[in-house]
Amino acid sequence: MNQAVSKLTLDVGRRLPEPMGLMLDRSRTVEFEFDGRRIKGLKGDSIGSALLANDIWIWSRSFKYHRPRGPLTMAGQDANSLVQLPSEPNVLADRIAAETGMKVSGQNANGTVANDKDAYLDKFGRFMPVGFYYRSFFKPKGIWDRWEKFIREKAGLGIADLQFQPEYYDKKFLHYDVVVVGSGPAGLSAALKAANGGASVLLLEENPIAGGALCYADFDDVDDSLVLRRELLAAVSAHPAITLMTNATCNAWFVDNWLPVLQGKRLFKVRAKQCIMATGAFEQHVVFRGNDLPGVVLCSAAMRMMKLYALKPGQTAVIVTGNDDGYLTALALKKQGVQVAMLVDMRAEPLVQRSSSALKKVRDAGIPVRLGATVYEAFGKQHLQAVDVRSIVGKGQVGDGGETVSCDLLCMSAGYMPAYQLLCQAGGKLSYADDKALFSISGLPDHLHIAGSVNGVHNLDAVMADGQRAALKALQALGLLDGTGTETAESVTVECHRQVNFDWPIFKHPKGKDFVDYDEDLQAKDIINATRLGYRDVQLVKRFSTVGMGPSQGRHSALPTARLVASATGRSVTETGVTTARPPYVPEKLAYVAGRCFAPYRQTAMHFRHLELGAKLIPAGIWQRPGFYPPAGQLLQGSDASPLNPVARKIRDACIEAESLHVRSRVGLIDVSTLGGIELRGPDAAEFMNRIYTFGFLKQPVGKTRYAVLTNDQGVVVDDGVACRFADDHFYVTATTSGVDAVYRLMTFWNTQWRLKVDIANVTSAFAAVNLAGPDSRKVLKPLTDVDLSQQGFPYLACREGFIRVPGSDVQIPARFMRVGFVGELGYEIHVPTRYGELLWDVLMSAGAAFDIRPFGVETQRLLRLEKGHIIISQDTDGMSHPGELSLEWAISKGKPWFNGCRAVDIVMKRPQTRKLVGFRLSADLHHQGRKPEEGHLVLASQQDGAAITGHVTSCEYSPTVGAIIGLAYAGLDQVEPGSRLPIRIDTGDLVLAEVVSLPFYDPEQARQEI
Amino acid sequence: MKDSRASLPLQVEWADREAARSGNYRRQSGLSRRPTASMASVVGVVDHEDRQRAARAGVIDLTMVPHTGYRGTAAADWLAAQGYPLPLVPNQASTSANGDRILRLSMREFWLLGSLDDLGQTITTLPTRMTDTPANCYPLFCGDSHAWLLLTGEHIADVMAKLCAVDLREAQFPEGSIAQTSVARVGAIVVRQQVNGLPAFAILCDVNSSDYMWTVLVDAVQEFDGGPIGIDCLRSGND
Repeated sequence: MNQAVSKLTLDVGRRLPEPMGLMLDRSRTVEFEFDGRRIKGLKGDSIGSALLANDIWIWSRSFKYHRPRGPLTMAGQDANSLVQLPSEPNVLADRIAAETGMKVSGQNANGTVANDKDAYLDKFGRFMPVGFYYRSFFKPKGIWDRWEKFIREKAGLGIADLQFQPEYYDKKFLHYDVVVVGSGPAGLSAALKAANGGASVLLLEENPIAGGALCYADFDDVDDSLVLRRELLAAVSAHPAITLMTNATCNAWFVDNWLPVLQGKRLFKVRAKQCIMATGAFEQHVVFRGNDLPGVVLCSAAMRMMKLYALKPGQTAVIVTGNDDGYLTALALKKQGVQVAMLVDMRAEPLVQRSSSALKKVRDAGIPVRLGATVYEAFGKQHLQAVDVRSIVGKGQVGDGGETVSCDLLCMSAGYMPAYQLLCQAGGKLSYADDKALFSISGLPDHLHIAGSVNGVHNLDAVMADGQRAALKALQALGLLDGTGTETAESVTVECHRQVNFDWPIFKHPKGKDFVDYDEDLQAKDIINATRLGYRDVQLVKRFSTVGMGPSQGRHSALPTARLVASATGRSVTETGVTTARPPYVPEKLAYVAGRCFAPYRQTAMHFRHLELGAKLIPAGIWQRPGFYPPAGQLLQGSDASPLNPVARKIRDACIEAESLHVRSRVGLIDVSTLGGIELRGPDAAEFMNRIYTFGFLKQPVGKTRYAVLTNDQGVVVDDGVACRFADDHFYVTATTSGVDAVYRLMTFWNTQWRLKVDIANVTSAFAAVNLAGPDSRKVLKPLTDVDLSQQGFPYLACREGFIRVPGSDVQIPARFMRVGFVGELGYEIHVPTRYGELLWDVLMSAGAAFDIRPFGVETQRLLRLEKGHIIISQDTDGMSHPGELSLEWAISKGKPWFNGCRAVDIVMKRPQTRKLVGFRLSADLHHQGRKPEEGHLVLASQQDGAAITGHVTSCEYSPTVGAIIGLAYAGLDQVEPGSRLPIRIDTGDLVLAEVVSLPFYDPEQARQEI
Repeated sequence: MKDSRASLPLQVEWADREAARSGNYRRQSGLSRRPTASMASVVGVVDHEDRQRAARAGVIDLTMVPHTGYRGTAAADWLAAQGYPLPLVPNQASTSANGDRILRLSMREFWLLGSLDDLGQTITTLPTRMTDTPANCYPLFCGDSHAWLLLTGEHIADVMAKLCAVDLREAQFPEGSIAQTSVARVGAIVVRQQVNGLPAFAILCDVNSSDYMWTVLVDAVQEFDGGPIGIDCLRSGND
């Protein structure tokens, strides 16, 4: 190696003159920190370009070997450029704009990236072959737990900031006729053609500026690509039908052109009738030893440094190429004052001379050219110092005796890989053409089109034409080509015979460090060894070696891996293929998904009254309901309120006891607004009710309520409620809080089938409701209404319409009254229009003050109804519960021909029954010992070990009124007789023996509710 | 989205004087009130910048402005006989001479939104019991079951694009269009209309979700320097 190389000055701090530096605003500067060092750059610089302007080429350390890594693509397409911001790891230094005040540090280094104390790991590479840790750290048992911490410290990408403060991210829908992904020449021409044809167009560009390759590349078929770019962009920005979004990444393709687009702190959910993917192609690297040294970059990266950021990439350059683009890069470097020491063309001489005039131009510029050769090794420690150039003597084979060429910049281009990811997500198939050494994509959905270099078209004229062709296809599909014109997609000629890929740019070195996948530090031998270990399928190679699983997701490793696996397994590259491309296309912050998620909630009209009273709110679906009302100072929140907290349990139990005793002895008020309400009106309302519910409703008297049970087509009880008949043609039926929407849906479904004369309306939200319950409830209500509340005038299970007077005003609240017995006391359910709900609560609480009225919550109501043996659908029932199991035979009419679910009910009821819901009781002592069974606890056939499970507990509470633990449980048929013993296995694993008892537990004569 | 419920006042002094209350009246505590024809009121004025805010992206809760509906095979004929100009096809809205909006939600279902000028006075004269309407014309309960929120201003389509998957831009969803859809995961009816010269969306959703919908809308308009407005700036002659 020429020692003089080490003295090369890496003076790239000076900027090149305009028009270089398309991204820059030279009048403004930015200043930030990198690894504690002050960095000055220009406005428009990326973090990476500013680092280069300050001679900093080491940006990160590699994943496994801690090798120094710097720019490779300058396009945010590789993991070498990942840096750390204080609250954000894995920031693409060559994509994200530098801003004043930023604190940037390198990643995966012990110390700084320039001086990484873990760099010694590079010397132990041979002890860390692919998959080494799968095979090294699993024995003896448990050793992984000790290794894991160490390995996690040494590997990994970035550090998560656990003190991170939430930021506002949100989502937005967009709708366009045509979405064009990629604003290179193909995308721009496609967008213009589509918009001119009458389509609304969204043009997406992931970079800060539009133009794609026109921004940085030179072309041999256009003199000044920047002029062309300006013209196209001017036309795009002037077009009213085109919306251009920059810094916007289309991160996936989902069915029907549903495209998630990331921009800033927003996830756009884009709907496109037609989509054109003009996503371009990724330039590919050459695989040789040392191809990851800082200073070794893709040709396109060097072009980007110059044209976008006015950076001189080096002093002395070598080009290694397999296509003509390397020649254009050599000429561009020369023009900007870089000495090009040699252009190394991997192609054999005849091929090159046929392909273009590039060779002549380069030779005319005085650049030495070596054909049929390659760079076999790059030398240098912290930066490239020289390369070893060898003749190619066979596929991947080089001759002995190389030529060492001093340089501080090596630009490489082995060809291109189409940016296939989004297209393959859409079902596109990749096939490899051996003659072109190139993958192409086919088999796309009808509303997805492809244009430009991703379509294997590389001449600029052809790329533009291909964009227009794709746009015409989209317009055709949109019906915007009337068919009378001569211009169709088929009429556009797209011809490109340019060969851009070299077929075997892989030169495996005996000493390795010839990287196929930079992200994962995978060398050529790692891929080959994986196949030798039996992982012959490329999918298995991926999983074993982790190739393509890093942040760049195989953009540069997929093609060489496919070639290596194909060669090693004796198959074609098409047969080998590439691994599956799945969303997301680029790493996606969880914030995009989590940002501004909608979590609807519903509040009853009395919600704030409950808050005033200090209620403990519990969720009921998306409703919030008072569970109980703790005394002042005992409302626990957060984890303190967990039922696992003994204090919380104690407060709950005490509140429920107190509230239940109060309802039994005085009067209580509960908000039941969440109860479903369905209005059925019309001449056929009774007939409809009769067909839907199990009971008979044709003869239900006006002014009476009736229990309504709903079964489904499997004969299972799915809902229940109370049906009020207010007129011959008017029913108002309640449904469970969680079931009403399904019940309403079922009713409207059948109404369209049966075509009865009935109107069905879900009025759940239209009514606020309370249950005023307790021996004093009549006294509370009496002064507030003209409805005759006497036992004779308004008996149990009757319903009435009337008004609630508001004392001290002339307001009368229209109300529906029902005498129901859910909690087993004299009680009135009162339903009023929602707008009056809060006032109703106020009026009743005020009128009840003289009777010591107290609010009670849902948890208390559950205990009260349990004391009465009333079931709650979906708590005491499950997906198998038929009426026989629930002892609801009485609620099934025998006198009508059928009802919804009738046939299935008949069938399941005739089958041998296996279980039944029964009531049980246990000594109160168990409650005090904390050994009360809980919902879900198993009921066993006997106390013997291994006894069969016969059922489970569905409800269980301590009842101060009964003075015992009471509950409902499914039990085997031989266990259901009163007096039987039910073995229940509780949390501790112990068995408790419950006694089966008749229902209800409380007031079996039903005297209380008949007062 | 930050949960702003914790900071709401429990007691609002004026509410005790009104029999009917909207689901989120506490969010308008301290603001001037404009009584409607429903024994309740809506916000009259938020501040002196109401008009500018309404022009950008204003939000107001109009739930307490009377609104109602009728459904059934006889509903169209009966409403026409009452003098209402009915849209010919479903999912279209029209406006009566006094400013009531008529929404045709299906061939047989119509909702009426009270005029902001008479504050729903005309609507309150319509029957609410089926005994007072012809056979097969059933009064609906939407006056209580559905909150009515109004979003105004030049950015309404952009605001709704954050909340709703339907393309509500004017070219695709011109004035008078109705979408029966989901807004911020809540079932809603969205109507594009002109209100005192401003483009607006009426959003009708479950009344028990109105507090939720209010917070969602107010959050969404922040980006456009929008916010709550009073009804006064939306009434004729107040432009």
